[in-house]
Amino acid sequence: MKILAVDDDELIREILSATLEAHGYTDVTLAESGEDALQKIAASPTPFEGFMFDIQMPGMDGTELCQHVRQMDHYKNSPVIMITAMNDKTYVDRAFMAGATDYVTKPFDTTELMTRIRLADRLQSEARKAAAAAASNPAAAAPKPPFKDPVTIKDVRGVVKSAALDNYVILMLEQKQFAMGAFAIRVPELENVHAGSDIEEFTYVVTDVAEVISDCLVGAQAFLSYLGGGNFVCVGAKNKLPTAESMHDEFVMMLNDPDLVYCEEVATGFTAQIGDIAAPKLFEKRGDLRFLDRAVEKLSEAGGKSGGRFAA
Amino acid sequence: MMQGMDASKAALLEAGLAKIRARFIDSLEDRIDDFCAQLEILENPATAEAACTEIRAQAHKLHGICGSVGQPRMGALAAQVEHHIDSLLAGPRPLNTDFVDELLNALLDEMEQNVDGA
Repeated sequence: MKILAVDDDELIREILSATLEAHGYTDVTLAESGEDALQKIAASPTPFEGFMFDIQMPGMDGTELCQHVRQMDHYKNSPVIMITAMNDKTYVDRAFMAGATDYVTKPFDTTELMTRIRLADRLQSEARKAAAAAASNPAAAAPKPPFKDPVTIKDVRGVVKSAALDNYVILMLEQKQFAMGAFAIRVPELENVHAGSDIEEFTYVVTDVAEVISDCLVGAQAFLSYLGGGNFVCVGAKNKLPTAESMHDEFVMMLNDPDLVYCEEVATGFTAQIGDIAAPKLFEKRGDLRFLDRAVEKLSEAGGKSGGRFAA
Repeated sequence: MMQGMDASKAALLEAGLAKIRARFIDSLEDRIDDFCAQLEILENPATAEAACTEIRAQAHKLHGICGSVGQPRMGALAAQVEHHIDSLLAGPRPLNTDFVDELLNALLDEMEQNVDGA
């Protein structure tokens, strides 16, 4: 994997280089600033396959650099691992918002560092194989993904891919800066939209729904991800997340505003199920993400309640 | 691609990291000089905020590197400076920088001990 590692500290760059090289990653380019990184990206004869950006740097910081890289067509989905000290939650939030996919913390734990790199390497390899398969048979139309699969939502504040959300939660649990919580939202009518439209139209509608959720979460500093099957999960500081009761009516009203959620091909009357907030349990180890599963399970409990507060 | 490291690669990495650790110790005198210069600027109320910002940036860098070069105590002291300045800058003006001075001197003591012990 061809890697670009960016850190303003020369010794950190050397540690990264030495560690990566010792583990077989010999194609590593180093940059000392965001500006230097952009120059090296532009000058590189072949594209990079993964990035490591220090978050806090003088001049263009890692978050701004990540935004620049994400705007480049070739790097829209490339792994971007942020390098962070343990104390900068605000910076980490901004980095994930800007499109970071993972993180490593300083001081480096070699095992953790290499786990993150190998994960990025694997994702990149899979993406390369998929692109090669598509290129080898351009005439074959890609089959429509099933409803249960997630679709990629772009350019909505706070929306990240499921894997990035997991990485963010693990980091926040390690930092223990606040009590985390998660809740899930299901919009059942998305199944009809999926059945009655092509994948492009379906993705537009899911993106509109995500925007509405994002608007409802303003002030909560929460992240959300689309899990597939009409289900979204939202994660943030437990005491800042809205309750189902406080959010439901306005959310459904917004969902049914055609200026906000528009589906050309399928008539919709959206309803929503909003689950109660789930939180990590005391006995669960750091890095244990089972509370995210519980958030989705609570959705089923919510859906089963009679005369429910979850009906539109 | 390697999934782990064989002994020779591990030895090579350790030798590389040992050199980086030595260079870090060599860099301490310059870092101490930079902090001392900022301590003087910190004494002037008109420039105290700029000094805090610079001290915070240097402490952040030190915090980031220390744990990777076998200096956890120095890293913890640098982190204290960084965190305190974050709180200070988020608060009211004028800044009371007495505790910055105190924390930075504790960090400088630790840095000097490492220079002396080298």
